[in-house]
Amino acid sequence: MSNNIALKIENLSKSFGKGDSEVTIIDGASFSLNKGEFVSLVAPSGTGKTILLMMLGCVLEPTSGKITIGDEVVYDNKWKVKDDRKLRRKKIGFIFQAHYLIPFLNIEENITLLPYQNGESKKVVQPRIEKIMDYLDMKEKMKSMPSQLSGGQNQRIAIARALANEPDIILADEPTAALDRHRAVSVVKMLKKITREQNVTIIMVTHDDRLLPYCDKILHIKDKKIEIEVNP
Amino acid sequence: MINLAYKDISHSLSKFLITAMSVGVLLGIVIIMIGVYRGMVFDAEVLVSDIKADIWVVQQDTLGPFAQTSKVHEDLKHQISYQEGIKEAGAITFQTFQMENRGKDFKVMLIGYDPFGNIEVIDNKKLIAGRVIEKPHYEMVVSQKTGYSLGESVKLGREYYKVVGVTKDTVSNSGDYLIYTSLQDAEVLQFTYTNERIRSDEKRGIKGTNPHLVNAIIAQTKDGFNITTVARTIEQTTHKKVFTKEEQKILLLEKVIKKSSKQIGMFTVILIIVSIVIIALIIYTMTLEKIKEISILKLIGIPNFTISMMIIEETVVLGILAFISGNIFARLVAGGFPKRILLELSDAFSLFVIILISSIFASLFGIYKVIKTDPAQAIGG
Repeated sequence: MSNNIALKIENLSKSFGKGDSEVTIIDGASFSLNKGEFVSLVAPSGTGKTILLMMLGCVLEPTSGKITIGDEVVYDNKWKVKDDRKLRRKKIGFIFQAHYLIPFLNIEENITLLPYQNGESKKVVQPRIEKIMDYLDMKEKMKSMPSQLSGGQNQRIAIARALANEPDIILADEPTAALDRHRAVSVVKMLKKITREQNVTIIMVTHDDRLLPYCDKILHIKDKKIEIEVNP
Repeated sequence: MINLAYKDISHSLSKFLITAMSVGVLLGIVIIMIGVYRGMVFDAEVLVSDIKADIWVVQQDTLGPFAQTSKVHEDLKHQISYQEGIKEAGAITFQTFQMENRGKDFKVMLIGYDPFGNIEVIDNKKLIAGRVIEKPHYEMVVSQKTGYSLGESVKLGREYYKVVGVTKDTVSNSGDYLIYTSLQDAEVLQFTYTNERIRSDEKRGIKGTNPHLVNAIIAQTKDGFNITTVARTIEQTTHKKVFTKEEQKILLLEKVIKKSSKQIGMFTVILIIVSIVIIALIIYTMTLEKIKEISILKLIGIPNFTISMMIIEETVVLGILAFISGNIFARLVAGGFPKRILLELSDAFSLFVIILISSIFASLFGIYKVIKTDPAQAIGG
């Protein structure tokens, strides 16, 4: 496997139910994404975007297929990792529709929660977090509580949290859904910049066609399969 | 490592404190109930302990004078005093009165004893003002809580009695205040009838106004004699029922207050269970309030152990704060109760251990919810 591969999906399927009531949502999907790519996932409602995202995030077990994150096979017709949470802590970042910061933790604590849980020392974590916060232009908000920040600022903090554990991939579930057009574009530009500069792959679910030109690739779910469109 | 419980509590401190104090009031009631029980046990023994008698001689086939009515002739004391191993013997009476002082109604136990005898009936250590009775008539010693003051004249029956002494912490076996008079006065108060009754009795052929009856004969044994052996010997020779001091105490605890203490004990257990259920419900509700955060924490990779520890720590802190506020509440209100509330540290410590262990068990509902929470809830809005 090439060292440049961030995520590889091979013949991935997901069905619910059994026998006559069996419903297949994803059927033999295959694709691979390189490190540093900004990818959007587009499909009509109810066609399996969230299910695909959950499978990629090791939250939902596929029916069959193979998932490789970085150079680690995490699923090959069965889970290959014993501790899915540990895998998520170390390899995957999440950004949600709303910021979903933990309201009783300040900004710094929200961001450092995962690295500290991973057993990293303050000496290692602190400079990294300061760099991320500086990068997102939020350094002065480190001690603020989420309730003291605007929606846009909190979404930037959510991005910082997703970056804090230096993941291979970031799964972003409609991260701009709660933002106005101007802020949505601003966040998407920032995500693209992050993929380039942090060498992390971001898969963003979106319904907003106006954001697609900013992506390197577009994943479409059609007839239960994944089609990849490469932006020129 | 970030302590999630500390951060969560700090974030909603006032809400957490109010919740803890509310549970604390409930625990305070539990502490008071235990105090009522302890007070009842203490009161049951205090009178028998105060009276410096080794042996109680009462009416045959009775459990007198506290558990059952007992009447013996006063002159029995002479017969008892001549028994082998007896140093002193004296007569004693007990009678309950309903009294009123300055608009306050209360029940008292009137104790009549021989002020010239050698058996100490009033515990000198509890005499906080004045003296013991030194005259054969119309003097009384009262419990401080009756509200009577030294030198005051109090009407009992047909006569006025002068308060010559005030005692502290003296109560009957049922927690009533005490009034001491001479034996002669007490006999008159208990056994002397009105003129109408005397005339009626005379027509019925009943003669005499004061039969010189008392409720018990108390006695002290000589050094070197086994109290139980002496008691059993007297029982055989006098055809009376004889109790040692220890037997009398056991009688009071097992016969007189057993049902009441059982009732209070059951009520206390129910209150403890209710408190634990309420703590469990509070923790469960607190967990439900955080279910979105918990699903996010699980999704981003925080292990169940870390999240469960947050729930357990919050439960334990809630239990500790509730216990502290419960103790403060109990100590603040205990003084206002008419009967003795005995708040003992050992009981508080035992309750603390019970609440602590129970709180951890109570948090299992919250932890169950944590484990069952699907991290996928955070995805898809």
